[in-house]
Amino acid sequence: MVYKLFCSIVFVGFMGACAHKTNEYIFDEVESVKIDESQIVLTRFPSEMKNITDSIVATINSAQSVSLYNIHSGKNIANFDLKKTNFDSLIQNTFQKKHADTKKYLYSNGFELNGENYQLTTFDYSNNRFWIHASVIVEVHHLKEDAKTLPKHKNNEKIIELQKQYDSINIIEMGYLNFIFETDNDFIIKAIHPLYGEEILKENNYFPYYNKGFFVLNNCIYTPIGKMDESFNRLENKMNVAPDNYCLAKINLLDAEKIAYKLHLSNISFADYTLRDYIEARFRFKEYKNSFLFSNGKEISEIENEKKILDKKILTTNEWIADYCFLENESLVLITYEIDKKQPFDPSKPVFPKYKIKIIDPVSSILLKELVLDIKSSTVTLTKNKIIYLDRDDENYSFKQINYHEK
Amino acid sequence: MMKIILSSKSIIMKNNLCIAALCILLFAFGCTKKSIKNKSYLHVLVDSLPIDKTTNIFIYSINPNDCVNCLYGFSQINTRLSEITNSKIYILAVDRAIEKNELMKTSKGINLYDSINKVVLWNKNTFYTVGAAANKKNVAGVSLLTIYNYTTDSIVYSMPVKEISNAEGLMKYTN
Repeated sequence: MVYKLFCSIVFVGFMGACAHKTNEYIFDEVESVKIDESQIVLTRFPSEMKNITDSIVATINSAQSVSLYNIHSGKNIANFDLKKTNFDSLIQNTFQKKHADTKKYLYSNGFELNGENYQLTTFDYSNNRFWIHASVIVEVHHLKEDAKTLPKHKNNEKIIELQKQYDSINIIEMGYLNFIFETDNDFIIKAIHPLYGEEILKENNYFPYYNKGFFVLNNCIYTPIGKMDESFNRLENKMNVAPDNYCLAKINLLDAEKIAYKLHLSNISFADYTLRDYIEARFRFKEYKNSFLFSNGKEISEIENEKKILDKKILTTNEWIADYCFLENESLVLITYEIDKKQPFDPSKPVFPKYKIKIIDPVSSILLKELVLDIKSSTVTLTKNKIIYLDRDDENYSFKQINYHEK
Repeated sequence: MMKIILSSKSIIMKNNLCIAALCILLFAFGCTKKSIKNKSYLHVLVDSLPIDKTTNIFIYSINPNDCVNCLYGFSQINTRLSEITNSKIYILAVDRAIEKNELMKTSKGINLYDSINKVVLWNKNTFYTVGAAANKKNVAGVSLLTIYNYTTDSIVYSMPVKEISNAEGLMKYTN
């Protein structure tokens, strides 16, 4: 009898441990706090926002600064920009030295209305370091014709005309030089990494898309890459989704010659993506259980072993992933959004996506909870216990947060 | 018999006169209607501003959030265009006072204060409406240079600033 009772207790305990995750979650009321604009004036919604700690987020404002805010007080804690950077000197000591024989780079101050000739596009925060991507506009003077430069201009009528008139022509084009600025928590610059890897990628017909996001691990940057073909010429063109193609590159910041390719397109679907979809999709890198995950806006896969974590079939056709995270109970939480692309664009009446929060059992792909969110913003991020987004009225921007937890 | 014929003639003459009078009235009404045709949005806008309207007016619709290389080219021609004496209107796609104050404080390349024959407007709606009026194919939000003639109420030139390679080609529109 005792033995049977003991077995029953063990059985019940075992079943309890194996029980499905609950679908009982509580979402609190929206909390709102006005954003402090005493140091940085927002001219539009930040293009990027990530949580740094439970109380602090970092945003990219107007492509000119990375700013830290306390989401409970709205206070702007610190800011990083490159206004005092001597880009002339930086370019001369990096890219110009590397390409002294073939190119001449000229940097000039930009149009003062919107800042300098650089953009801060995205960043990563890991191991108490900020890694900030800066894209700098330069004039590239090709000192001599080379096999790599001229072919892409061969169909340009004006160049064809010039070639008929002159023995040789030098091409000047606008280009972008890319850097990663490594800083500490106080935004003190610790190192500047010029991203030379682009040249190596081009040899394999890839180009990097740093501004879609990246993460840094052991002095290597993992970044999205695209295939250099006609699929990237027009917004409506379908992407080249050959299964052997890769969607990420791992570039060594200390030695750009060392490049590895990661995550085949066979293990993360870009099917039916147009170039526009690729540009607008929100790519997200996350660390989970000592492995790194990548989301292309529709699916989530592990980068190293290429195991698919989330299949797009759980989303509707027009539904995209804005952000995601895992809870303590290993449920997967998604913030998704839908945009009606058929609706004509009217800037006087901005239309924001329709957001939802979805809580999923990633093993069974069962939807545990779904809730429509009343968010009128393009800047949203997710943590294990809150949804953080920005809002604005006629005069002020504000942080809003919705706390949630399992019942 | 003669009386009847004469009466008929007078009736015909009266009818002809009525028809002629009706034609004259219709012609006059038609002319009048043309003269009260609605003026364009730009005409109404320029009409309200204290600037010289006798020569071509240069209208700069600027979105400070435009892509960096979109405005970069404009910076190259800005110095040259600032030398012309034609009236200028700057329209900034900015509504909030805090943003306006920040731009006025930090902008070095463009003087964002009103002066003689120069007006600066801060209004997103005006920016988008002028953009739509100036260039039907314009993607909303793109910074534009539009050259407008008030007398003929017509746009003589309009181009996104990122597509303007140099200012010399614009000199033919100046005084």
